[in-house]
Amino acid sequence: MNGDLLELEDVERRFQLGGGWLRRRREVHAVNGVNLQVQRGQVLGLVGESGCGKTTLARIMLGLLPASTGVVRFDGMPLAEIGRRALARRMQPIFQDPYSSLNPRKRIAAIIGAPLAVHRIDTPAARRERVAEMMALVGLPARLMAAFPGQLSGGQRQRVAIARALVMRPELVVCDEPTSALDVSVQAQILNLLQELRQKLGLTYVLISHNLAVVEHLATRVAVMYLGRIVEEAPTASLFATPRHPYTQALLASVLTPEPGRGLPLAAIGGGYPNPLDPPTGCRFHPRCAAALPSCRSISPQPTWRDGGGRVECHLYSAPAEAHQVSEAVAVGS
Amino acid sequence: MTALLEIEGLAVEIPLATGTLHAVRDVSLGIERGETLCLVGESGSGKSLTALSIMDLLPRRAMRSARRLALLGEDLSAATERRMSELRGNRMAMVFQEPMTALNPAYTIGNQMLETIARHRRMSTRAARDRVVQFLDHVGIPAAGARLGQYPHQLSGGLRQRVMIAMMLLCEPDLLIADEPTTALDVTLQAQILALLVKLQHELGLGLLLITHDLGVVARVAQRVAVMYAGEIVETGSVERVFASPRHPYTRGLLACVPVPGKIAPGAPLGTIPGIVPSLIGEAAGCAFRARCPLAIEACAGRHPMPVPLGVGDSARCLLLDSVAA
Repeated sequence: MNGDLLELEDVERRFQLGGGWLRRRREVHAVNGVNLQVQRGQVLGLVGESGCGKTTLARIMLGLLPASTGVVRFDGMPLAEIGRRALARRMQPIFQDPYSSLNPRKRIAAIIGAPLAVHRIDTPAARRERVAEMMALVGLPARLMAAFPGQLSGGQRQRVAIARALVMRPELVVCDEPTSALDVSVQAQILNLLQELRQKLGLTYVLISHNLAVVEHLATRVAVMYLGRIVEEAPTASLFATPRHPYTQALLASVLTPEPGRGLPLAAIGGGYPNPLDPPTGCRFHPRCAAALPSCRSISPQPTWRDGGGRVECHLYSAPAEAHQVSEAVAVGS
Repeated sequence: MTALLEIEGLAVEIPLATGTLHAVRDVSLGIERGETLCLVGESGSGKSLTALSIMDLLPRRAMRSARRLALLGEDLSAATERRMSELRGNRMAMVFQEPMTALNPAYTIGNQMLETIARHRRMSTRAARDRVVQFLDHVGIPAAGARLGQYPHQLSGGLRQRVMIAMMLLCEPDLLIADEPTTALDVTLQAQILALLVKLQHELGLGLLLITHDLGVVARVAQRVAVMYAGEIVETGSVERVFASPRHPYTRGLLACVPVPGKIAPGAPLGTIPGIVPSLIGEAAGCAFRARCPLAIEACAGRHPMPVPLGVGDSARCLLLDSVAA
C-alpha cells in the first residue's frame, strides 16, 4: 500500500480474570478495536493514563502477545506469518526500567551481543566487533565491555538497552517509557541519543510515554488512548495546538510546564478513571466529560476526520451525515 | 514573630565500610507560615534525607548535626525522642511518595486516622470520628463516612494519597513536608492533588516543604525554590528569579534539560549535563559540580564555594559569582 511499516486493524485483546470455583469469570477488554498506522521514518507517540492499555498494545505490536481478534501487519505481512525469529530481526523493544531489563550476571558485551548470538549471526569475533561499534554509537566507552550492569549508572544502563535493541539493525523500535526511570539530566541525554540514532539509522519509533512534553518533543504523530481505544490521533503539532477530544484537552491541560506564575490548571479531570472491568456505556469518557451530550451515554462515537489531519472519536465532531464518518479501511497516514 | 522552620548548617553523615558518606552538607533554609518552599534535585542529591532529618526519622546509622534546627523557635536537635513523637503528626507532618506503603494494609482507613487523633488529642470517639469524616470530606473524598471501614487496597491511588493528606492534617500541623507526593500518580491526578495541597495550605496557613524532581511542579506550586546538588543547596531564591535567570551553572543546565514547548524546536537537541554525580564518600575539596561544569576555572578545584548573596533571600554557591574570589 503506502509507506506503512506497522499497521493495526481492529485489534482487540481480552483477558480472562478470576474464574475460580463457584466464581464467575470476568473479562477485561484491555485493547478494544484499535486501528493505527505507523509510517516508515515516523515517530508515533502513544499517550494515556495508567491502565489505558498502552503497554498491552505495545506487546501486541511486538508480537509478544497475540491479539484476540484483528490483524497486525508489519511491512504488509501479518505478524503471525512472519514468525518470531524473523520479526525479532526487524523490530525490537526498549523498556522503561534499565535496572530490571538487564541480566545482572552477564557482562555488558554479552548483553549487547546476545541477540546476535541467539540468531547465530556472524562469528564470535565479528560479533564482538559489531558490539564495539554499537557501544561507540550509543556513547558507551569501550572499557565497559567487561563490566556488569551493577557497575553502571542508570543512563549508561539505558544506553546498553538501546545498544542491545539496535545491534540487530531493526527497522522499528518500540520504546515503552524509555526515560521515566531516569533523572532529568539523564533523560535529556537519552532523548537526544534516540533522536540522533533515528536520523543516522533511519529508524521508526513507537514511543509510549505518560510524559507529554517528551512526546511533543520527539513524536511526529500522536495517538491518545483511553480505556483500550484510540480516541484521537493526529500530527503532533496539530494535536498539541488544537486538541479536539475533551479527553485530549484535559490531558494537555494537566501538563505542568516549567513556567512560573501560571499556577495550577483549574479544569483538571482528576481521578475517576473508570473500572476497566465495568466500562461506561456509550462513549467511555462520558462520566468524566464536561461537554457530554445526552447521546454520549448510550451511543459509542465513531472515528471522524478532524481539521488539521488525523481523526477523533467524539460526538461533538461527528456530523449527522454518514459521509463524515471514516470507514475503518481508510488509512490515517497523511 | 518566630520563623516556622529554621535550619542552619544541617549535615547528615552515614558511616560506611569505605568511608563516611556526606549525604547532606551545610544545608540552610527557612520556611514561614503560609509559604511553599520546593526542594528540587536529582536522585541522590540529599532532598529526602534533608526532610527526614527535620522529622528525626533518619535511618539509624545516619548521623545528624546542625548549627540550628528549630520549629517555631523550639530547638529540635536537643529535643528528646518523647518530645519528637509529640511533635510528629501534631505540629509537623509528612506525606510520602507511595501512599500504599505509608498506610498500614491491615487496618481500615478509619482505624488509622482515629489512631492519629487518639495519639495527640483528648477527644471522645464520636467527636474524633466526626473530625475524621470532616477532613476526608475536606480533601474531596466522596461518601467519606462509608470510606472509614475500607482498607487501603480498596482505594485508588489518588484516593489513597488524599487519605494520607487528610490524615496528616487532622491535628492541624504548622509544617507539612511532602516528599514527591504526586510522582506515582498520572498527570491528570497530579494536577488535582497539587491543587488540593495548595488550597489546604492557604486555608490552614501551613508552611509547605515540597520535595520533587519535577521542575514543572516547582514552577507551578512554589514561591521559593532550593536546588540541591551532591548534598548541598547550590542555589536558592524566588521561583520567578530562579527560572528566569538561574545563576548557578547546575541550575542553568537542569532547566535546559527539560523540553518546553515554544522554547525549543521539536526534535532539536536538548541541553545536557555531561558526566555523573561525584561520589560523596570521604572528604570533598572544591566545588562538587566542577567536573561537569562548562564554566569551571582552576580555583574551583581548590576552594569550596560558599553561598554568594544575590539579593533578599537569594543565593548561589559558585565561585564565579563571588567577586572577591574572581
